[in-house]
Amino acid sequence: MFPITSWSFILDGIFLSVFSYNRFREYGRTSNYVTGQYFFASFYVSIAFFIYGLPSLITDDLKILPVFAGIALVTNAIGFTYFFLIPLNGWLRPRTYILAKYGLFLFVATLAAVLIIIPPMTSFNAGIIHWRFGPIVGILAAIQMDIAFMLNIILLRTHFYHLKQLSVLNAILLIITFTLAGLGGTYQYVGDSYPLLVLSSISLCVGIGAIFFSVIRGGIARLFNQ
Amino acid sequence: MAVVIFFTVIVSAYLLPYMQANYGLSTAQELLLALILIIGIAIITVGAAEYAISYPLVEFLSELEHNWGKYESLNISPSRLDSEKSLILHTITGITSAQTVRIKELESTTGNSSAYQRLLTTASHQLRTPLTGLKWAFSSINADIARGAKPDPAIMTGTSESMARISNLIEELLAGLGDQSKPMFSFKAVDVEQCLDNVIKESALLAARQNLSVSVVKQDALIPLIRGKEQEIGFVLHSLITNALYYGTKGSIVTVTITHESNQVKIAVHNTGQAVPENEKALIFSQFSRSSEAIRLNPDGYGLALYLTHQIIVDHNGTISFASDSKHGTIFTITLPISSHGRLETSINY
Repeated sequence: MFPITSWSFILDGIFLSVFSYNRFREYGRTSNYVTGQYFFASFYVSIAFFIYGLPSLITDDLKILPVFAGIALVTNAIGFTYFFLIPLNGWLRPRTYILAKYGLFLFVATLAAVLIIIPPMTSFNAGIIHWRFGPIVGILAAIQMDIAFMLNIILLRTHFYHLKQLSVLNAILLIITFTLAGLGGTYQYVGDSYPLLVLSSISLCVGIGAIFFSVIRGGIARLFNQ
Repeated sequence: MAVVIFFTVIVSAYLLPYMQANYGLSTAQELLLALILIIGIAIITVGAAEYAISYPLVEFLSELEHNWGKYESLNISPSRLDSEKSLILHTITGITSAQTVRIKELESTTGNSSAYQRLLTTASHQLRTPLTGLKWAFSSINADIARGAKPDPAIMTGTSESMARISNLIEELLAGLGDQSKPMFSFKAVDVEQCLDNVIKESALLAARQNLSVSVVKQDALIPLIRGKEQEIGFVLHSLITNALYYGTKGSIVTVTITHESNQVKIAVHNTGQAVPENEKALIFSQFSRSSEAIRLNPDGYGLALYLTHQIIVDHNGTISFASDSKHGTIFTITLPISSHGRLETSINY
């Protein structure tokens, strides 16, 4: 059976890696804190996508897949922690921000601990992977991701009218990414219905495709401007 | 480290056997759980150290650095000649007495508020350029009329723009003075490119009078917004550009380079012309200090613009420096920190 979930996750991983590489290069040039956070966030999430997608192409052993699913979820949670920290950096006082930063990393450690005690029951069904994380892990991870994305949308919305040139389009595409990836990702964590898992995979792919499109578009625009 | 070891012992001795008895965990799960718990404890320890020790230290150092920047220092080497030392002493005494007289004058007219003094000086400097331009434009128009020629349309446009600028400045001042419960200038996201554009328009008549042109070189596609007081940033750009126009060689170009580096925007204003004399460089940002060359070329100045520019840049957590020699001309460079708007915008402009 053609592993749809695996390929869609690998595609997501590639899209996000391009964004991550772009942010890495820019961070090296400008040392901009927000760019650095975007780099770390997208780097961890893209690695997580590969950890989700690649093992199921190689094996369908139901003892191995849950291990990789667990590792991917923790890597993903580290990535979302960086997304979480982007708006908090601007809104919180520097000293409170330190508490939030370590609190969020402690949350990831807690998530990993719960994941070890209640491991996922991952299985394959007609090319679609049912991750079947325990309810506590699924809900906690989904809440972390959704709050991080919501805060980022609020942040972009707050700054929207000060943006110019390519940034306006990029802000819209990032909002699309956060919305679609948030919806798709949440269902992957907590849902189990076959058609909705297919839909959530598509939603994730389109969402992350939006960010990939904005990177490519920016590159082309710069090429023509030079 | 001791805390981590202590908690590791507690976890291995009590918590893991309890988990094994109640949750039926395998050895691998137990080991992983122990590892996670150690990581968790390490996170708490590092977080507590950063919160309680390293952050307060960093904050103290940056505050110290900021306050240090506010005070100027003058290095007097013991190896200097006695005659030179007495000259320096004489200069310092002169500046101090001039400063005391000026402060007393300002206090008697405006009360003792230094903020008010800055506001008044900023406003009068901003009014001076369009007024100087207008004075020159009217004499140029009069000369054209006397010759029976038509006045230059560019000068006519410049005149009406200068009038509009004066009117806007007065309205802004009246509005600010009317509501004294609010600070006149407040920190917000400022578009430096826009500020620069306005200043160049305002200085157009002065540039024409001095027979100089202003060229802007933008080295980055996006110049992010900075955090600052718009009026004061305008004043800084205004004083640097008008200085470059007053003291630049006739017929040359004043170059303003704007670039985005690290977490700051960098602006450099360069002109060719008479260099600042070596022995007057140390006092260039001092209050009421004017170089002998500046007095010769523009006798009307008070020696406040660069002093205020320096104060404003320090208040904005930026830096200001200059280099001047007769071969390369004079270049003033300022850096201003990017605002949160600017940081976000830069990070999503890919």
